Amino acid sequence: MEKLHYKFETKNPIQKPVHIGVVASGDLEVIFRPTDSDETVVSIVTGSDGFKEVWQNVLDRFFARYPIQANIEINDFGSTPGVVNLRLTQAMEALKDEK
Amino acid sequence: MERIEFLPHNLVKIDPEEFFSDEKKPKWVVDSLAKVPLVIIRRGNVVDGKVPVGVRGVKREQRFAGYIPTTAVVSGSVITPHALINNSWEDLPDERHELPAIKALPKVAEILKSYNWGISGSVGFELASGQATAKMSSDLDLIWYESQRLSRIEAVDLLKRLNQFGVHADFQVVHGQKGFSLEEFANSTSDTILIKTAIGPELSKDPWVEIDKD
Repeated sequence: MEKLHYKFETKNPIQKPVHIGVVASGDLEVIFRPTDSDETVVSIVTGSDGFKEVWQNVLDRFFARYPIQANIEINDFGSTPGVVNLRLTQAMEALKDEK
Repeated sequence: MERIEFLPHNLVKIDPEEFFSDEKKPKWVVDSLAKVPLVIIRRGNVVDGKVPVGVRGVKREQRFAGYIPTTAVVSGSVITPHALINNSWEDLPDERHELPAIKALPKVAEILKSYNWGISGSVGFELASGQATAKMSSDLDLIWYESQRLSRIEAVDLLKRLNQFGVHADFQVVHGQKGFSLEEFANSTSDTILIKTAIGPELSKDPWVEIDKD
């Protein structure tokens, strides 16, 4: 098990928490929470070690497109980058629905 | 035509020498296959006679993805998750029945007796191989084949019944290569459900319809 932390400079604070995904093999849960900080902190707990750079790439691309300011928690159970991307997409859709 | 034995979650016996990967094989992979030459079919198509498979070690994080040529699969060796439901747990040593995920099996089997279901994950691997793979904290990974559409309320109710034995039961609805999580369908806060397919995951507004499409 590995714990990873990333920080991103962002500018669009979210207003409500969002919880997407499931706790299951090959999947992950993603939790976005509003933050008072002026940056986005992403904390990942993953069962698959050695994917620090893969996560960095997935997150770099995500925040380049959606610079949301939030406290983000990800609990990963061996998901693929494709699953991660779709979970983040679902979380963004859920944020839009709440506006 | 798709060969039925190469569907995700099935287990097949292989010639360990022929297992290969894009990455260097860790020592535990070589050791595991030497001891128990059983691999799990991963989701994905057979391309150029290569089947996507996964190796499991005795530790939780020991999972390794690779491929096996169809010719290196021992013919007739396939064990489906469905083949493990008929009291196969009775053959495990007594102390293994102290694990919540294994202890729950007779009760879960009673709840699912009218379903076409199966056992996958670490418990399925242990039942198929006899090797102690499940942990005290392991989930119970279950599969539902040929499912009937459930309402959200029915899904919540079924999951509640499956989850009353002190272990998290994960119920995947699986048709061929496609699969989705019943728990996600039951509890989703999103308009879409994630469906895993042979060519990668996708989002669907109605997973019950999507899962039957080719």
